[in-house]
Parts: sequence; structure tokens; C-alpha cells
Amino acid sequence: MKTGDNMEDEGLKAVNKKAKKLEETEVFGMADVMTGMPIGCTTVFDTGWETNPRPYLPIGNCMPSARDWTSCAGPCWWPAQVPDGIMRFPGFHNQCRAIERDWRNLNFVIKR
Amino acid sequence: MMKKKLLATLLLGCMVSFSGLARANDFIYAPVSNALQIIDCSKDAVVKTIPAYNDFIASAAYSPDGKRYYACGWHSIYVFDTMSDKLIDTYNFSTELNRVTIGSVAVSTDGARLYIAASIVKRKQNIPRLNVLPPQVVAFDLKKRQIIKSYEAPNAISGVFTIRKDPNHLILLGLDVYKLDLRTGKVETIMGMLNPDKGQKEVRNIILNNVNSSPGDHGLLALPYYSFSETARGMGYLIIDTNTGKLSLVKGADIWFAYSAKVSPDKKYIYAVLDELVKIDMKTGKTIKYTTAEKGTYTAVAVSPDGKKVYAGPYGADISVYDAESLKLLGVIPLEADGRVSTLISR
Repeated sequence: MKTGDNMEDEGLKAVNKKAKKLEETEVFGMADVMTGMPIGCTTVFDTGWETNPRPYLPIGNCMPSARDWTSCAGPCWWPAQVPDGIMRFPGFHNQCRAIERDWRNLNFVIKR
Repeated sequence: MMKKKLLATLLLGCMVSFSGLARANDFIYAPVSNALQIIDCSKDAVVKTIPAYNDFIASAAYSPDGKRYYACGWHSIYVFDTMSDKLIDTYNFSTELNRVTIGSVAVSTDGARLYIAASIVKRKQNIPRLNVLPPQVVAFDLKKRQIIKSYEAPNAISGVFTIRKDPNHLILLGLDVYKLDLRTGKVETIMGMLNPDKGQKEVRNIILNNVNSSPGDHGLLALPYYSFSETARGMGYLIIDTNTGKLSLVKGADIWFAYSAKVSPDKKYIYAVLDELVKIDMKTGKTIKYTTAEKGTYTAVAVSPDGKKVYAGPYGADISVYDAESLKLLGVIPLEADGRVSTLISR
């Protein structure tokens, strides 16, 4: 199927409504936006909660770490400790809607 | 005479009941995993749960009139009508070949467009190669349901803000703070953060999380930043006046870990949260009070329009309510699932 980019590369011009829609989707839809988020968990090198100590209680950042879990899985903030919410396990919250309550349901190494 | 008195009493009764009807009620919108939960601030309890999506919500935005609430997942935006509290539309931006991750969303001052910062990764069919596209901000027309314009932008933009009195510009927050001219696409640095301005002695790193204020409020946003210079480390709060686009800094007297912060309705205090709830004097930057988080880390904070209560959370599956004056815990509101966003909407 031709899309906006390769239509343009091959010198093609959209002549009907459907083709124009394809062209628009590519050119104005998703062609150019913004970087800043990782493209996968393997590109992230953040260490973990335990490396953010503070000299007084509560020691560490985000306490307890379960509070940080769900939110960090989406952008793979702590890739060694949270499910790969970008590539491998984007719907993990369906197993585990509240981690402190539902953690027994969580299995992101071997999918159930 | 009696008739006149009766008429006056009736009129007064009508006025009282109408003013009662017109009085705004305050609600906290807390989108959690797979459901939007609505908290009535007069009861401090969840009064409605709308299981309208299957997603985790990472950020949110609202229309200037407060009638639309945009709950943003990493790849989709869910539109709620705040009058009926119903899901009225869903925008899915990712396709099989394009993965779009939404970073920040702002609604235009006329409520007609969304400005979206996101990362796009394209995949070619049958070719194991990913193409990460250059950074841009896009304008999404809500009526046409399509992206109508894209703007080149600096790297790593994580915040997009509209300016109430200046619909032709956006403030972008990335490694530094920028202003984008929506007519020409020109981007100008208006405050150095990681790349210091001439004469700026410190390097600043900004924390950006759940920075929404509320529809119709004073429009001051407070964003915690951490600074480093040759002689000192510190923290402070970048204040963005979304009415005029003016920026200012409140240098903090103490260093707190803070994910997000809100300016009180009287503009005297900043309330910041992470593992503590901290109350900061907005003029001096001094810590007035702090308390350790009752249930654990909070990522969002909201202040009631009368300035009397502070809602800290969620991050896990709860929101803690504090007395704004004393920071005494008033109660904990349990939520159905984990969340990281809250927005106060009066209606």
C-alpha cells in the first residue's frame, strides 16, 4: 500500500478522496512529531530506586517503590525492575490495576 | 402590603435557590488504570467511577471553559464531557507502523485544537529497522479530528503550555524554556535552564509532572527545578504565568524532592509533593511546614479553590486530603487503581 512518504518519493499525486486521506495521514498525521521518549526498554540505562538515597528518612526515592511502579512501566523508567510497558508488555495494568493490592497477579517474565 | 411582603419573600427565596444552583461545586478528576474516578470535594469521597477506557493515564488537559477533560494515555487521548461525565471521543494516534508516544498536551485558548508533544517511531513493513523522527509539536484540530500542522521544535520537549492572552504563542519546556510562534513556527529561547543564559551562574534541571492548574484559576504554574553552580546546589520553582507567558523563579531555601507543585489560590504559597507534602512561602522560598506522605509517594497535588484543603496524590491507589493551613491529615480517599494525575474542576 502506498503511503504519503513513498507516494511523494515515487512522484505520485493523490487524485481521489481516499488517496488524499492516506497522504494527509502520513504528511500531517504521524510523519513528524517529537522525540524525547525511549524507543524501547533496552535503550534505557536508569539504575533503580535504591540508588537515590537521601540522608534521612524515608531513605530512597519514591517510597514505597510500589507507588512508582505503574507510572514508571509506561516509559520504562526503571527497566530492570518494571515490566517493559513500551514493547513487550504494554497492557500489564490489566493484570495488576493497583500494584500494592494486585501484585500477586503480576507475571511479566512469562506471560500467562 | 401583605402581598408585597409575600412577593418579596418569594423573590428572595428564588434568588437564594438560584444562587445555590449557580454556586460551583469542586471535583477532583483522577484518571486511574482503566477508569476515570471523580471525587466530590464537599464529601471527599469518590462519587463516580467511569470504566471508559483500557489504559494507564499519564497526563491530562482540559478545555479553557472546563467542559472537556482530556485524559492522555501514552498512545491515545480520551475525551470526557465534564457536564455529563461521559466519554465522548477517543483519539488513537498509533498505527501498526507508527508508534506515537504522547509526552504533553495543551488545549488552545479557543478550545478548538490540541497541541501535542510526542515521540514518533516509524517502522517499515517487513524491514527490521526503526526510524525515530525529528522533534516537532503538532496541532490537532478537534472538529476535523486530524493533525493540521506540525512545527519543528527543540529536542526533548516535555511540556507544552498555551498563553491565555496570547493565542499565537506556546511555551515549550525542554532542556531550556522556549516560545513557539504558531504563525511562523519560529522558536526562541526565553530562559536558559541546562544551557545557561549569558551571566547565568547555575545550571538548572527541571522536573515536569502533572503541572495542570484548574480551569479558570489564577493561571500560575509552579515547576520544581534543581540547580547546580560552582559554589552551591539548590532547588527552586519556575513560575509560568499562563495568562501572559511571563517567567519567574522562586529560589527555595531548602532542598526537597518534588515531583509536582501548585500555587495556592491567594498566590502566597507553593505546595509541593513527592515523599513529603511541603508548604513554601512564595515570596521568600522558605519552608513554612512539611509533613511526610501518609501513604507513600505522591506525584500530583491540587488545592481547593477556597485554599483550605490540599489533595496530595495519587501515585498509588489513593489521594490524601490535608488541611492547607496546618498540613494536618484530614483523610485518605481510596481509589480503584493506580494513577498519577489529578485535576480540580469546578462546575
